[in-house]
Amino acid sequence: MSLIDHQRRKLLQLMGAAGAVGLSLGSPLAMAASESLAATTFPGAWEESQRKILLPAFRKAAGVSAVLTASQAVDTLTKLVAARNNPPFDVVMMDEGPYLQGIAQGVFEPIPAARVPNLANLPAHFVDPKGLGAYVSAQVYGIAYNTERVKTTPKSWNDLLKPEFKGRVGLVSLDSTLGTVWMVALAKMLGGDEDHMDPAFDYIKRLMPNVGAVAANPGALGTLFQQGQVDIACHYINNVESLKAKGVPVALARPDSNWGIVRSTMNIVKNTQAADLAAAYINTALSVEVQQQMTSAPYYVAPTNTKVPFGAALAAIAHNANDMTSFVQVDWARINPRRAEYIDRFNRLVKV
Amino acid sequence: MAKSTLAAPRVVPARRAQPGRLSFNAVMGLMGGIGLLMLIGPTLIVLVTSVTSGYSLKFPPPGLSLHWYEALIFDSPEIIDDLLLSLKLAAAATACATVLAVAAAVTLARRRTFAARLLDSFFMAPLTIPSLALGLGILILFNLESAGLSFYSLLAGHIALCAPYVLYTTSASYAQLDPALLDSSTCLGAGGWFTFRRVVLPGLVPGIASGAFIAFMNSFDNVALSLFLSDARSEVLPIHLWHIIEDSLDVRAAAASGVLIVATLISMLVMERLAGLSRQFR
Amino acid sequence: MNPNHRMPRDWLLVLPLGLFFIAFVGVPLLLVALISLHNDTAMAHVGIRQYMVFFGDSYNRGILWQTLWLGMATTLVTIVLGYPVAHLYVVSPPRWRRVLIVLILLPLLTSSVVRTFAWVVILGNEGLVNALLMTLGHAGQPVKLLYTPLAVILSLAQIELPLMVLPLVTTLTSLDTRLPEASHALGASSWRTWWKITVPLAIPGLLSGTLLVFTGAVSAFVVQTLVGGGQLMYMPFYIYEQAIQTQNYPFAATLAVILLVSVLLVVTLLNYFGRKTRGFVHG
Repeated sequence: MSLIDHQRRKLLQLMGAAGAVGLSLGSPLAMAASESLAATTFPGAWEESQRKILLPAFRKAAGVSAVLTASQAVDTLTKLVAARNNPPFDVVMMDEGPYLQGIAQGVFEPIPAARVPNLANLPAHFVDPKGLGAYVSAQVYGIAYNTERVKTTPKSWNDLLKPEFKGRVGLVSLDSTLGTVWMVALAKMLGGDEDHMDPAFDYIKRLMPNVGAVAANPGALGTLFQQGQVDIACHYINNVESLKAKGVPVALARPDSNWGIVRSTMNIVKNTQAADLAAAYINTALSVEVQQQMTSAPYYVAPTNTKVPFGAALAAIAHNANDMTSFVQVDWARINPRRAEYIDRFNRLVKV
Repeated sequence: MAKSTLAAPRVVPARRAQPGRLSFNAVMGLMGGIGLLMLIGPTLIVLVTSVTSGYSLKFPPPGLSLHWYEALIFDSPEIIDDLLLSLKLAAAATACATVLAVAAAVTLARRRTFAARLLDSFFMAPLTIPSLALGLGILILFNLESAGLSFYSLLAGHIALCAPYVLYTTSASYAQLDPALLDSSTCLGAGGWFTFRRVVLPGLVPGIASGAFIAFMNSFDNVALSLFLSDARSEVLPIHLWHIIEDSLDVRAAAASGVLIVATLISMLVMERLAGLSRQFR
Repeated sequence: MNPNHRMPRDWLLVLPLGLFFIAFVGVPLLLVALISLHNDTAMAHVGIRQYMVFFGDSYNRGILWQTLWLGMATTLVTIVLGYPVAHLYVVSPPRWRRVLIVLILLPLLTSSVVRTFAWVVILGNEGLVNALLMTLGHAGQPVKLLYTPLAVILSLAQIELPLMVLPLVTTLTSLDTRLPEASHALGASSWRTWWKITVPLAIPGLLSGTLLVFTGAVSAFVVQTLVGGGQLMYMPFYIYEQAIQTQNYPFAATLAVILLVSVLLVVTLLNYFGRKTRGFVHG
């Protein structure tokens, strides 16, 4: 064997060794994953409030920490469907629309009632009959506006069309629940409904000269307010209050057509490796302590646990869950089949 | 890279005035100044913003304070986790890519055959094709194999991204090695492995190191591949920073950026000292 | 050493990288091309319907055009600003050159998210440019700079600028300085010398830079999305949206193929011109 062959052989051995080292580098990371809980939340004020309130409470209750990932409900659902057998998350937070789709696609597991005693404190219609999900919160939306730059309190969605708001209105992509429910609210205000959305799209078309920016998600819409890029938009109360706490002069006004309401669920993912931890997580989210803290400033998340009273600022909007039934709601079963079509139509409309 | 021996040493231009010399120098100077300002300005602005005492990205900042750096170090475990993940990924990808690419570079370096040139273009492909397309393709590959996304899917994409850099710089280094050295070493009785270890490798080390450094920085910075290929529960730092900037405008993003800038500057200066990094670009 | 005897053994060293690339670069790209040839999301029928849909819709064509135009505009700006920087480097004494190279390299190695972030700070309504305008007396509303095509071009130009400067520096430093000097000695003005002598000799560097900047700008996902906002849609985000959000893989693959082909066409064109102009440079 010549010396040159010897050289090659050594090099090959070296590469083999390096490869083995490389592989072993990867495995500790894979191993660690099952010892904590992988949960999702929504970007923006949701993430903030859950990191501050829910995660520490869960840590205390279960002794394990949770890894929180911010992801829009639609994106989370996509990831669950794409990796059914080996889901990246153990417990997820969903908006109503994707929640219904998730049930249809079979990506959720029943919540074990024995491990989640707080389920008993929820109104019956807030728990899925098959136990595939539970509503953990409700969120109110209205007209958010910059109090320094918008002198008169806006009263109706039609106010956004006024010429004084040229280039100052913010929109959010229909990929988000906020965008979609607002479109439905607009349609209903203008005589349409979930199946007849044309009035809403016409409204957007007329709104275009006033549109200053389109945000990717509600969190991003908040930063637009923060940077002064937009002065008026449809937004959630928790995001608005969170901005206020940061010193941004913003407030939420009630539109003539009434507040709108959005509900969120938590679900255990099918094939998760940490079902018990996931159940404990949901139990913590439904607990009186956590929900109580979430209702107060600056998050104003409406509770679903009947034992939690509607606190100070929230009381200005509603006194209990019954009050909220008159708020604008969305029948997601009718929206879901055409959602992709609406998203595409919206994108084409707003394109510069 | 040795300068061409034909280039004359810099000669002072003739004293006789050239028409238009003043205007030419003025324009070039002005535009060049603007260019340099554009190059370095944004980086400085981020550094200044990171020490703002306020909550938003107002510039100039209302006051100065280091509390965002404190928030970053003490109050942001998720950012630190992502930083560690990015470092681990970049290190692993660079290590694997270096081994693979050096072997290939040594073989392909001096050949001009069609096969060699074809392979060379193939290996350089990740530099030109949008990494999105590559990310999408690898994602589809993993989905078809029903292998879920994990650290490995991410690693695979990043190795493909890193390899061209190391290959390029190593080939360049190898091409500059004086063939007479190799021949004389063999003539004097040294074996192949000895020649490689004592004569070739030392000459290659600056090239390999520079390439590995550039590859590391590119892997650390890459967003497109990571968007498609990362396991949904772990996020690499650039993507997390992007989410912070887009979703909450938390000024901690500026602090994190400040840390990254300083780290990049220091490591760049070190690499310049040790391996003559800038020579790879000139 | 008998070369014929060496040949098969040598290729053994290339095999690891070669196999890796076939598996993780070649096959994925092939898969993307194959997936794009399906007519529906469920991938039941093969056909070119996706391509017909793409080219038949002015919205889609507009996105492709906007992306390519972004590449071209960015390249132009980097040439206008990058050439002078390279020129400054070349005429500087060695000590200044060391400083300049750090200034040029640092942005290249800094994270693109960080650099994009800087532009959000500069162009925002509360940012640097608007603050300057305010102090200069421009009253009233801040000027909307962010989330416009101009903003994307500017920020991309800054991020890609080093990639134009460096090849130019390489080309200009290896220029035979006797040629422009001869031109001066014969009485030509600085401008004429520059235009007639230096620039043609710098073309290889310009082409290299153009290639790097164009491909970089067209694929710059982060900048396009962060600085462009929700109203500006470019190919990279469109691919991501269709693949990950809408889960329409065939269409996403089609978009990826079209983007790839466009980029490769431009690259081939530039390489072709590069070979043609090599005759300008001696030795």
